[in-house]
Amino acid sequence: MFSYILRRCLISIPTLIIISIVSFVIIQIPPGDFVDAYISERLVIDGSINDVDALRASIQAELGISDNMFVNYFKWISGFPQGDFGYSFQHQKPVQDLIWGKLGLTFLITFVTLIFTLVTAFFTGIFTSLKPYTFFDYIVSFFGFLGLAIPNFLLALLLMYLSLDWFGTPFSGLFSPEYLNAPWSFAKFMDAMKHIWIPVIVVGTAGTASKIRIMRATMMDELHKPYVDTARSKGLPAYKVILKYPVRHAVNPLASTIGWMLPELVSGSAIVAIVLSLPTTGPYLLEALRSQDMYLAGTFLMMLAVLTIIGTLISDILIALLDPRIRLA
Amino acid sequence: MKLKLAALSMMLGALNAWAYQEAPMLNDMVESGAIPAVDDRLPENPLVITPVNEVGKYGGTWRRVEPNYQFHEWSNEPLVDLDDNQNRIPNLAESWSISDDSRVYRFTLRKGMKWSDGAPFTTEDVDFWYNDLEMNSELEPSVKSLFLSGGEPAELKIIDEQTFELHYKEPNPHFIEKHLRSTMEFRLPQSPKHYLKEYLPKYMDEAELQAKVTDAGMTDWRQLFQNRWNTRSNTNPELPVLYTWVYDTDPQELQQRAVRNPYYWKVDTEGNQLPYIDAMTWPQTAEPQVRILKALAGEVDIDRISKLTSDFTALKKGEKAGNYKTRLMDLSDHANMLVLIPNQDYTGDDKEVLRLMQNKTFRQAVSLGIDRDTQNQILGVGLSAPAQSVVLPDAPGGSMETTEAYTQLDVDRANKMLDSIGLDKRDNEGYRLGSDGEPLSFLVHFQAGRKISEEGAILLKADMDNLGLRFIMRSDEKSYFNQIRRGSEYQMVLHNNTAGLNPLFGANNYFPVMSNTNFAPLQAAYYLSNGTNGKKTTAEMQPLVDLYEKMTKETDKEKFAQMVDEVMKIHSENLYAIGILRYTGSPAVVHNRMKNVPEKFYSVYKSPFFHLKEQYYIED
Repeated sequence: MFSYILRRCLISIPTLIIISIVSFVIIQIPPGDFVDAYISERLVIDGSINDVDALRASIQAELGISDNMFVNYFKWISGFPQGDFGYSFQHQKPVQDLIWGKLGLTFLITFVTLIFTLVTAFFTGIFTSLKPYTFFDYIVSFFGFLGLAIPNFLLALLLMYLSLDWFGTPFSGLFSPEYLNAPWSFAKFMDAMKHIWIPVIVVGTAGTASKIRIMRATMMDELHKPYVDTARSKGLPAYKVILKYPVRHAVNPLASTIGWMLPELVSGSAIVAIVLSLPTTGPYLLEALRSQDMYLAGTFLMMLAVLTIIGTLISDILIALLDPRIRLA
Repeated sequence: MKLKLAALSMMLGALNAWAYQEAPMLNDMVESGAIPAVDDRLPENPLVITPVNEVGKYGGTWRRVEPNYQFHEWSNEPLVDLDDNQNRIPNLAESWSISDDSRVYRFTLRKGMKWSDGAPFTTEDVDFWYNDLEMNSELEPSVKSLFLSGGEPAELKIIDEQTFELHYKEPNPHFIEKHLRSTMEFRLPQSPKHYLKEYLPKYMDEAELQAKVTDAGMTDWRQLFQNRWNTRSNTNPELPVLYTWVYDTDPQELQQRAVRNPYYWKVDTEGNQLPYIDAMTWPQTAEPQVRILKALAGEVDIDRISKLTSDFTALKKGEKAGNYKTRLMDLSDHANMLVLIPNQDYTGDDKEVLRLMQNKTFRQAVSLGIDRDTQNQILGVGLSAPAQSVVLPDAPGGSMETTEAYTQLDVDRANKMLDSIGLDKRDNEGYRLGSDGEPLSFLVHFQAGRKISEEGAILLKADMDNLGLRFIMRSDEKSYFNQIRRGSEYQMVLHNNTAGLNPLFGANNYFPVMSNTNFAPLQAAYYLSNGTNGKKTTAEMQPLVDLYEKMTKETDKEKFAQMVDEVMKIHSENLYAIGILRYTGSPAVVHNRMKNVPEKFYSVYKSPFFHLKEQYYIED
């Protein structure tokens, strides 16, 4: 098992290198760069600047970037081993000073959403498969599909509007005003937990619906297999029959989706975070991409890639643990 | 008698000097010894502000909702300010004089005035700001036009601790109005020598400075300097300033804040040190929908909520529940929110398109074919007005005649005009063919994400379809759009005209002399480079260039207005830029607890963004 995990970690290194190249190139594909944007801003204020090239060279020298994409890339990537992720042009600060707080909150929301999705899907999946085509099943499926069909951002807007209507203040952000700038403490954590349910529900609903369907479908397949009948006829209690055999089968597809659920949740939460003004990576990444702040945007994308790789690793390990039939060859 | 009166007023003045009061929060700081007494913090001659309605009360926090980047813009403290009637009034400078030929500007600062950290503000700071920062080619590769005349930067002469002069080579009558416009133009109020010199190679040991740069995780001293100077955004809460409120939070905090400047140099008529309001807060990010919801919930004291006039109704509806009033903030110095600009210097392949764009009759026909009333109903909720791309009718040199030229929808006349210039053949879809018999289309670029352009583009296309002209509207991401506009290969752009009062402020909208002149980019490059780049000014455009040069030096107001009128007549006849609609206001809210807010709180020339903000107060 240990050697398997080690091997998986080693394989992820070339993957990350390729991801870093691809994401960096993609960031730079759109025409124009940060310097262009800055010059345009200057020209709006003072259009009499004659020598735009000199201005350009001066800003490039200040920011330490060149026209050559590869030079910029190597400058950026060579700092990674020392934890130096480059310089954010827009915030005028080293990237590593900017990202950790945002990433932490993103991980928190993603993690809570993941747990929420899996737990809801697990239990409702089992219950609906035991009593299929009943009133309860239809109700759950109805809301599940509704969640799947409504775009996340629309749901977020609706919830914000309703909270304004019902409570007199729109739900936005992750903290109450008094905790906004406070250092982390237990009270601040509890405050975040009070606000976190809106993004969790908004981001989680879509994922939950499909997971319920998967759980329900595999459960219904398994429930009619002869081994279940055998177990029943031998006199095992109903809960033991179900939990010990069909559920163990049905949980496999659920566990294997964790890998791609994580990045889906992070990217799905980006739009929601923008609408709800959450202090996570989403709005930041968008802003960085818009202003062509390439090192900041690239670092965010890298961190999300790392998250995906970790997610896949976790789901592989989980499956190995859950299903002894899988060999770690 | 006169002498006695003078003596009496001097005595009263002296009395006043010892009768200043301060905010309770500052009083506590004085008692704990953190700052000196109020009389020692104020200059000898503080600026006396007459409150709009009544003398206010200290305390409270002004909750805002527009995100970060604008704080400095809104804090601006010019040397000389303008009042509601556009008269010049003292601000940073207690007095000033301008030579008759507008070459020499003399300013006298307030004696004993201090930066927000208590260090004295003198002409030494002016010298540092001008010679070490603005004229430093490592920080500013080209000198701003604000300081240029006759191709040379003005010379700064320091007379004494409070007095300095700017000497221009040629008359420069627009310095005052120009330096008001933006903090990017005039950065003296945020350039304290005693603080910033620590980050400038001229004053620092190279190794020591390099160590500072490395410690901050940066590579170039300019990175650190720009960061300390707060030029691009709020990055440094430690920078001493002369502003009403001083930026006070880490730039990464979710809730951004500025607190009162204990050394602020304005008092009210009863000798209370301003501002009344203790602090100002705003969020690091806030999406448009969130801003509207916050305003509806009554969580915004004063702010612009949206840039779309159409959001006015939603805000108006929630006034009672949210305990606020909705207002429209006028952009009264802007001309047109939507302008179609054909490129006279188009260097692309389509010669027929170039021929037509250079044809006055074609441009007039396009203008006559635009249904501006429909545009107004949709873009401006009916509050805008059809207008050519010329200064506002009540601006010096403006008129209704130039505003309304070719704005009346007349499809028949437009069609006849187009037929007369060789566009009388059509293809089987009904679109006009070029005079060469080939299919004809025009590519129009507009800025993605600019709602007015996006909606206007759809309407414009429909209008042009009506004339049988095939317009292809292309939306480009902002920085790419700007890059396209800096080149010369585009056919047309759809954007705005920001110069509605003085055509020299935003000269690119009227004269082929600025690097972002969209109607003639190559002729502008020719002018800027003294003939080494670009394309020679055409005989048609030459009058505009001549007028521009005369206007920048004209000191007489009436003659200036006459020249403006001349320029506007050229534009309203030739339509180098085809104006569509005037600007409409942006919806803003004022909470009912905010007092002393003037009727018009968004003043001309952008400065200060909130007019008389230091004397607003909060009554809970």
